[in-house]
Amino acid sequence: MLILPMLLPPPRSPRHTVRDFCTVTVKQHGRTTCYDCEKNIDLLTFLQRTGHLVVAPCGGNGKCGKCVVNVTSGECAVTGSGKVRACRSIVKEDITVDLDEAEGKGIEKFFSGISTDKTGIAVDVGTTTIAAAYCDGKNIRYASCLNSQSVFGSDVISRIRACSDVRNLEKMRDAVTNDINGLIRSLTGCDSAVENGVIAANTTMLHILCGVSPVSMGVAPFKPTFLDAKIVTDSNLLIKKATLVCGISAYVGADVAAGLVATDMLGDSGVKVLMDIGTNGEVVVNNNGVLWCASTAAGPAFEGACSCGMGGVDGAISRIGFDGRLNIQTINGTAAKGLCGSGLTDAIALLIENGGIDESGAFCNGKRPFLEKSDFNDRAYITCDVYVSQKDIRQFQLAKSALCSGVTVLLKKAGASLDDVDRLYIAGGLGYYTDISNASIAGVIPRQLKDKAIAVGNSSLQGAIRILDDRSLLDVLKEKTSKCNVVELSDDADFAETYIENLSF
Amino acid sequence: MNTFDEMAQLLERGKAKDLTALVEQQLAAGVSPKDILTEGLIKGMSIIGEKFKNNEVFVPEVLIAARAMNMALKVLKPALVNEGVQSIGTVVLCTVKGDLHDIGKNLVKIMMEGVGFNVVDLGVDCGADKIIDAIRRYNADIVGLSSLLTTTMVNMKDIIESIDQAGLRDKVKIMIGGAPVTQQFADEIGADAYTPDAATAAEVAKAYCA
Repeated sequence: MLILPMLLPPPRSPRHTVRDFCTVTVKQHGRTTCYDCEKNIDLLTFLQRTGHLVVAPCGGNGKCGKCVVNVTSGECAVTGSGKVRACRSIVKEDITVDLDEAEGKGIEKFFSGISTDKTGIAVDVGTTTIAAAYCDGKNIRYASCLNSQSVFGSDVISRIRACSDVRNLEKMRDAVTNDINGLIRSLTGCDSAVENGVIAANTTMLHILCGVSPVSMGVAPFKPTFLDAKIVTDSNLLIKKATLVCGISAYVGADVAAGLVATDMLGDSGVKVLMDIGTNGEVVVNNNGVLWCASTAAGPAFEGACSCGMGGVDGAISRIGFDGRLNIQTINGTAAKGLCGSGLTDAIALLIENGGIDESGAFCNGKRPFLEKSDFNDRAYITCDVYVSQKDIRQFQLAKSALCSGVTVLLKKAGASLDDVDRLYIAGGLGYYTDISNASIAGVIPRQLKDKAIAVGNSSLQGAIRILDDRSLLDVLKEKTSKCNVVELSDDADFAETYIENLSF
Repeated sequence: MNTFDEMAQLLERGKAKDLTALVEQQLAAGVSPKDILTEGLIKGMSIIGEKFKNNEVFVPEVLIAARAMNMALKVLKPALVNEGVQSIGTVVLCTVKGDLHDIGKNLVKIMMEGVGFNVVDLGVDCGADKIIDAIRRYNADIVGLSSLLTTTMVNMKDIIESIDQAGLRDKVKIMIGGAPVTQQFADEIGADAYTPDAATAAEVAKAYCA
């Protein structure tokens, strides 16, 4: 479940029924819970403190508008009642909050074809989603859940910032430990610890999992405390001996390193590229055995942060086709509620192909072929209430250019050109659903690489399974990644120029 | 269309060569360089700024227009100096300590220059000492602080406190911006203004120096 038991406050005590407190009634998962709440606190902080999962991608900064909750009785200061932003709502009187409408059930598809005769658990701790694979010697079973740390913000930077308060570090450590334990319980069907496990995650997630402060990675020069592979024996974790995969840098972590194992990115011949697309995009280039890597701030556009955006959960439009009329696919086939990253990519590719937006990304008046509704000039409607706005397209342009430019510039630094590339692996959630041709039209990947691209899904988890199967891969990985050239793109002049060029379609 | 409007339009479309030629021609014909600047060039940048704010044009179009503006200014500058025309004020601009992201800050620079400011760009990863030094050295009217990371925006607070301790707080207006920054944050740390985009930043700065 999404409730974090260790964050639950003590039961209501009668002595708090005096003036400075009021009652907040929370409805979630069909359950109703009453809390005493000190007045003048913002609702998001209160809900986080009481262990209710409200996703706040911007960390409660009032920027993203995603922490909307339904205040069904009473009123909050400034925002009032009904659907309000929790982070902007100040509790002043007794209120009732309904959270059930706001959340979705995380789903993730997995790569098939990997097998192992070993037993143990492989885990990929993503900033948004945690995925685990349980190997029983014959079969592999998979499960995934949302990372409960998201109450502290959706991106790693927000999490790092929250860790400047050491109590939050402990809370996030407990949250991720509980999430992993929950997955292990559901996969093994029992409460006892698994003997062996391999955990891959980005560098920040691994720091938090080990209770090590990631704060130094939040500011330049972005130094991690540790990157080496290590074995963790934490009695709170349902893995007796957990091996953490080695990372490469603060922003190219063990998840990407594991991805190198899962693909053939560790070989000595050819030019290969791995792109891991999430809130942060990581890029690794292998030019005939020499590795180069960089991370590039894609921002949350691919993780559902547009006007009608949502994560890859039930009801998210994941594919859009057009053959004179629109064909819409949603995740699990439920009614369309919003757009996830691949849906947004398809929508933009269709707009470009049909003259709906010009090269600069601006809407062309009257030329939005798949509209069912055109009340607003700065919106393109996909369904009656799911649309892409001009501002969404601008955000997408920033994100796609960061990724595409990251690949282009890193290849150049590695001494290779786009034409030299033999294979482009696209990893990460976007990789599952995205149509590669549309990704190239929309400029997420360089156009020249369209025919070389292959979507591999969660390469981090696959890599963790491979390492569980064959420990010696960890030594190979360590040897290769210790020589990897880490490129910092944010202050690179060549990147800045390429980035501006690639903003256009 | 009058000549000033034509300049504004050439600027908006980034036609650097045509614009420079027109400015040269007008100067030769005896048109006031100040009028060319305010009625032609600055007006063109304002139009671009407004469109940028409304998402109608994007970063590349702004940069192309800025390039045209810079080329035209090269031709115009000697004439402006001869006529004794001065900038409307001086802005010290930087990305704060711990942060290396500067694309947003560079846009602000372009827009500020576009409305007639002299902009001193201190670059990225910039601490309080450097900023205080620049305020004194360039006799700045405005300080602009930028940050892309929630982990570095807290440094804005330290910088404002240091400016205060240096006894310069009343001398300058402090403006802040960047993806994670909000009006609420500006209020909390005692900044004079938060602006959501580069064009608005230039407008607000201009109002301070009016």
